[in-house]
Amino acid sequence: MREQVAKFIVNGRVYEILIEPRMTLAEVLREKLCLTGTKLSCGKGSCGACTVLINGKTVCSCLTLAITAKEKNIITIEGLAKDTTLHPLQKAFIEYGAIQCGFCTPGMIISAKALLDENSTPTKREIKQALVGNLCRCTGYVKIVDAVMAASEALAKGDR
Amino acid sequence: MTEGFFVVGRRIPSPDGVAKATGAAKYAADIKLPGMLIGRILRSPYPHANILKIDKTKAEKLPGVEAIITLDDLPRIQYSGSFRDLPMLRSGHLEKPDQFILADKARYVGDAIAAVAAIKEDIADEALNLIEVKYEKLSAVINPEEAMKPMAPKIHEYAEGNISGHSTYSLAKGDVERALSEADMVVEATYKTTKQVSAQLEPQTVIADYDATGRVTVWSPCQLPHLAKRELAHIFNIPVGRIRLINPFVGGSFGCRLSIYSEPICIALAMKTGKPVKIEYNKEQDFIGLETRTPAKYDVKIGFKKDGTLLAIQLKIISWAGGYAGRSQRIAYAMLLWGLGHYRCPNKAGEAYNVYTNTPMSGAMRGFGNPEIMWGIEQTMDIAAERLGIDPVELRLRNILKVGELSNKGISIESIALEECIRIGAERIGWKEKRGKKKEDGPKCRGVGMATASHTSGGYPGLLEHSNALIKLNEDGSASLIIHPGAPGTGILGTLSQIAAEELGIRSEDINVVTGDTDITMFDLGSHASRSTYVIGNAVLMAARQAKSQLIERAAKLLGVLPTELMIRDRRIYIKGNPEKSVSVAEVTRNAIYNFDGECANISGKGLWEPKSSAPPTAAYFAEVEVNTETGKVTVLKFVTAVDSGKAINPMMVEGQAEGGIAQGIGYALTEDYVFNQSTGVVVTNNFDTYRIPSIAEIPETEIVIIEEPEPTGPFGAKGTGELSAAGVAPAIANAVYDAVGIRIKELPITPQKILAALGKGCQRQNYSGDEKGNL
Amino acid sequence: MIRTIKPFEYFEAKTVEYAIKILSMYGNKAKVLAGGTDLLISMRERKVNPQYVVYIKNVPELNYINYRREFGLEIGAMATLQSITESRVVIEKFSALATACSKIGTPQVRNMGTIGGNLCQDTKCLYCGPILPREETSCYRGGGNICYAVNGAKRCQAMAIAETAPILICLGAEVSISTPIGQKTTSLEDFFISSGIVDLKEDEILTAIKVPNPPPNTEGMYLRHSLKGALGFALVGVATVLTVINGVCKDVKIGLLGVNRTPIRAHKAEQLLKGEKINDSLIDRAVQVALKESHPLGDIFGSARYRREIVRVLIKRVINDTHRMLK
Repeated sequence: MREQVAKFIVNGRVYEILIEPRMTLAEVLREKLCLTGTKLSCGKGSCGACTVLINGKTVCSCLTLAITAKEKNIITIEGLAKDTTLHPLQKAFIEYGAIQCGFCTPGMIISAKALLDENSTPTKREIKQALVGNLCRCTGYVKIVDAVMAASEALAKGDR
Repeated sequence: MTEGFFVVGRRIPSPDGVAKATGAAKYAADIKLPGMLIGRILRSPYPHANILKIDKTKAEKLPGVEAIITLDDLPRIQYSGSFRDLPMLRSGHLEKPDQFILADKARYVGDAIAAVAAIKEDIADEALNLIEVKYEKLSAVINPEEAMKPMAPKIHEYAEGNISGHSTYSLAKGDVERALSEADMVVEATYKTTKQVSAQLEPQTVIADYDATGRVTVWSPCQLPHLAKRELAHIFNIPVGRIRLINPFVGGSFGCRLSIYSEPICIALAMKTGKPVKIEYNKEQDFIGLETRTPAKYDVKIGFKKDGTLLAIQLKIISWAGGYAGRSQRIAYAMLLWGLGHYRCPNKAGEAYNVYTNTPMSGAMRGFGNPEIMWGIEQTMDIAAERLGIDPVELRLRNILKVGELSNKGISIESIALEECIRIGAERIGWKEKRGKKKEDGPKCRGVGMATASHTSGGYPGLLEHSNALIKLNEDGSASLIIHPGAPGTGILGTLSQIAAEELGIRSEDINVVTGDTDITMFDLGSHASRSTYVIGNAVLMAARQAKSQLIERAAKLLGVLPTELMIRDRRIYIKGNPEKSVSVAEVTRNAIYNFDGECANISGKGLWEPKSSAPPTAAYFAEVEVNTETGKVTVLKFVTAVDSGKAINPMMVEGQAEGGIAQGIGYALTEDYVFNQSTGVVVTNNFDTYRIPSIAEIPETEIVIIEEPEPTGPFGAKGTGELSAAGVAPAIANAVYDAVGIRIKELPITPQKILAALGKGCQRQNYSGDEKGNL
Repeated sequence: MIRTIKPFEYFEAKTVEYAIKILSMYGNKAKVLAGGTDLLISMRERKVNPQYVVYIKNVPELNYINYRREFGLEIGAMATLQSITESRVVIEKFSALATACSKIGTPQVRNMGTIGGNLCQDTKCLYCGPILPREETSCYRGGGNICYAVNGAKRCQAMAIAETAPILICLGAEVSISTPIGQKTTSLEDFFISSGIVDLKEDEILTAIKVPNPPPNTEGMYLRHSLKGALGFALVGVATVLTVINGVCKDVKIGLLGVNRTPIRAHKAEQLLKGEKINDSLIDRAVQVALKESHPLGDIFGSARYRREIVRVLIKRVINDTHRMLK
C-alpha cells in the first residue's frame, strides 16, 4: 500500500488527495492543498508553529501522518476568517499588536481558538497553560495574552 | 501627546497584520516556482579538517540529481558573508574577508563542504549521503584560551595566534592607569557571556533563479539587501545591476539575518542547473549555520571617587569569532563603545581581541554587543554601590550623561531622559519597599535589581549611514511609500507609514507600503543598529515633505490662495482660519494627473537622509526575582523597563520591542546556554527542545513605561529603540538575584546549579563527567 | 537532520489481533505507531527505519479509561495523555497520575501522545542525535564508539524518560501485553529492563495498564523538576504513595525517574520508613538511603551532584506533603 487516495476535510471542505503514507499532515496541507499558513520549524513538537486542530484538539501537524488524519475535521489558520470577516482572535491579535514577524501567529491563534472553544472565559493562567506549546521569539508574549483575553470578551459579547 | 499629532503617537496596528493573521503572508518556504529544485548542503562532521578529495561520481549518478558542486566548481573569491569587505566604515578600514562559497578547509562542525540540487527533497538528502569526502583531521580548538596558545593549530593562514582582529577604544581619554591608582576605590571583576542564538522561528530559506538574460534573482531574508546585492555581485563577478534581491515575509532575525549564508551556494546551483533552486535549512542547521551572539570573556576595572562618581574605566575583552569572523570583530569593538561610553568618566580605555575557534560563527544579535558588555558593567556598578554604601539607583543617577555631554559615539547629546526612566522605573518596581529586604517565604527569597543602558539610532559616525525613500500620490488620495528597511517583522512598516501619513495629512491606512524588491527600491542600508525609525523615518519625512509641498502648491492654485495660507489635515487641504474652503488630497492628485492646462504631474516626493548624529536612546531596567534556595531555580516575578525613546511614533510597537527584549533577556540570563561537546566540537543544544527560549509560562508581570523626551534630530522627535530593549535585562536580573540571596553570578547563564553550588549545597561528587556547570 | 520520512508500507489496525499479525509477519522491520510524537521524530532522524508501520491508535478496544470499585483503574494503552489528565475518575482517585500526565510535553503533545506510547518509548539521550550522516562519527546508539552527551562514557548513556512510570510503579500498576500466543500480565516495575526500555518483543503490544485501588489512608504525589522552564524534559521525577495509620507509616513506595537508566523504586529507603512514625530526621535518613540507591549521571543538563540535590529536595517534599495530607 504505497500511494493511495484519501479523503480530507479541511476547513469544512472535502478533498480527495493522492498521498503516500509517509507524508505528514503538514506536508499535505502545505504542498498538496497549498495552505501554507501552517508553518514548519523545529520538526520535534517543541515549538508549535505547525499546530492545527483535528476534531477540535490541537496537534502538531509535522508529527501527524496525514493518513491518520483522513476523514477527521481539520481546521487550519486559513479556516478562521469567513471571506473578509476575521475571527475575533485574528482581529484581537492584529489590534493588540500581538503579531510581529508573524511566523508563530497561525499556530498561536489555532491554540487560542481551541482554548476559547472549550473555555470561553479563561483566566490569564489558563491562557498561558493553553499556549505553552507555542513558542514566540519576537513579542515576549505580553500582547498575545492581552489579545486572547480581548477576543474572549468579544466572543462573550456575541461577536460572530 | 499635546503637539496635536493626527497619526503619530497612535497605537495603529501594523499594515501586514491581516496577511500574517490569516496565513496569507508568504515566507520563503511558502514560495514555489515552476521547475524549482531542492538544494541541500553537505556539512563537515569535523571541527577542523583538510579536505583532501571529494568524489561526487556516485551521487551524480542518482536519478533526479541535477547538480553537485564543490569549491573547485566555483569562483574562488574570498568574501565576507557579513560584508566586512565592503567599504562601510568611515575610517576606511576594510576587514579581511575569510570565506569562500564552499569551504576550502573545514573550520567547524557544520562548515559547508559541498552542495546538491535535485528534483525532490529525499533525492537531495540521499545524494548528500553518496558524496564521498576524504578528510584529514586536524587538531581543533574549541575555546579562545586554547586557540590563543602558541602551539595551537592555525585556523586561518593569515591569523597569527588565531587572532582575527584587535581593536582599541577610539574615544579613549585621560590616563586610565594613573586614575585607577588615584581612585578612592577600584572594583575589578571578570565576566563571561554565552553564545546566545537568535532562535527565530522561521528556518533560514533562500531561493535563487538565474534567467536566460544572465539576471540573478534571490529571495532572501537578508536585512541589508542592497549591501547583499553588492557582495553577491562581487563574488560572482557580475554587474550589481544584474542582481535582484527580494525579501519575502521574514520570520524574525534579531541580528543573524544581517549576513548572507547559503545565497551564494544557491545562486551557484541555479547557474549550473538553469533552474530555480531553494535551499531550506532545518532548525538544527539554523543553530549551527547562522551567526549567533558573540560570546566573550572580559575584565572590567572601574575606579570610583568616594561620592560614587566614576574616575576611570578600563575594559579588556576576548571575544570568540568561531571558524569565520562573521560580524564578531565589529561586536568586540562595539562592546568597547557601549561599555566605556555609557557613563560620564574622564579616563577611559579598552581593547578587544577577537579570536578564531573551531566553532560555528559568532556575530551580531540584538544589541550588537550592548547586552554582552552591560552584563559586566552594571554588575560592577552594583558591587561598587554596596562597597561605597550608596544605593544602586543613586549611584547611576550620579553618573549618567546629560544633554550637551558627549554620547557613547562621541557626539553631543541633544536629548536624554534616562534620569526620569530611572526614577519612574524604581517607583514602579517598588524599589524602596523591596530592596535589601531579603523577603523570605520558606526556601524562596525575593529581591530587586536594576540596570541601565544606552544604545544608538543608526550606525553614524562609525558606519556609512543613509536611506532613501520615494512617495507617490495616487488618484484616490492614497500614497505609495517605496522604502526598503529589509524588515524581519519588527513593525517598522507601520511606523514608517505613520510618519508619512502624518506629514502628508492623510491617514495611516491610506499608505500602501511597497518594499522588499531591490529592483524597485532606492538604496537603503536596511535594518540594523536600530536605524529604521530614525534614519529611514527621516528619509520618509523628507519625501513626504516634498510631496506635501507639491500638494499645497497645486491646491493653492485650485483654491486661489497663497500656499502659506493652507494646511492639510485628515485627507483635506484647508485654508487656515476658513475651514469651509477646502479641497481633498485625492482631488488635487487627480487634477495633477489629468491636467489639461499643460501642467501634468504625478505628485511625488523623494527623500534622502544622511544623519549627522546617532540620537542615543536609553533605558532603565528593573527586575524582581524569586530564588528557590532548595532547587536553585530563579523566577522573574516582575519586570519594568522605562524607555527613553524620544517621541513614540507608535507606542504599541515600542512596547512590543521592549517586551520582546525582556523575554530574550530572561532567556539570556537564565536558560539559554549553547553547549559544545568540548572534544568533538559538536553542538549539543541544536533545537528548541534542548536550547530553551522562554515560553509563555515564564514571562513575568511586565510594565513598559515610555518617556517621550523629543529628539530634535529624529522624525517627529523619535529615536530607535529596537535593540535597547534587550541590553540591560540580564544584569538587572543578576543584581536582583544578589539582592535576594547574596550570590553574584558573573558567568552567564544563571543556572540553578550555579546558585546551589554557591549556596554550598549538594552531596559528594560522583565519578561522572559533567562538572559543576554541567560543562562537558 | 533530514525533514522527510522514508517510505514504508502502512497498515491501519482495527483490532489488536490484526496488529499482532502484522508484527509477527514482519518482525523487526515493523513498528507500531500511536501518537507519533516519539516514533516519527526517530524516523525523521533515520534512527529507526521501519519498512512497515502499524497504526494502532484507532483500535477501539485500546482506548478507554475504566474504573471499578472492586478492581481499580484500567487504562487502555491508547488513551491520550490529555484524556487521562482530564479524566474525572483519575483526578479524584489517582490525582498524582493525572498530575504526571499533565506535565508531559505541551498541550499538543498531550493530545497526540498516549500512555502506552509514553511507557514504551525509546530511551532518550538529551543530546538528540548528530547532524552527521556518517557512521564513523556516530555515537554509540548509531553504531559508533563515542558518546557526545557524556564525555568519556564507555557505553550509551540514554535513559528512560517515561514520566508516567514513577507514579504507576508506586501504585503497583500492572501491564497487560498481547502476544501471538495470548495475553500476559506483568508488574510495571518488572516491565522495565536494565537498558531502560520495556520488555516488549517485536510481536507484542502493550494493551492496558491496571492500577489497583490504593488502600484507605493513602495519598500519592508526583513532583518533577525540569531545568529549563515549563517545557523541559524532566531532569528528575519523584513519585510516592504513602499509607499512614495513627501517625505510623504502614506502607510507602518511592519511585524515581532520571536517576538510573530505568525508573526505579527506592526499596531500601522504603524499608527504613515502614513501620516508623514519620518525622523530619527519619525522612532525612530515608533520603540519604534513596540517594545511595540512585546513580544519576552528569550531562549537559545537570551535573550528577545537582541531580542528587534535586532528588533529595523532591523526595523530602513528596513524603512531607503526602504525610501532611493524611493528617
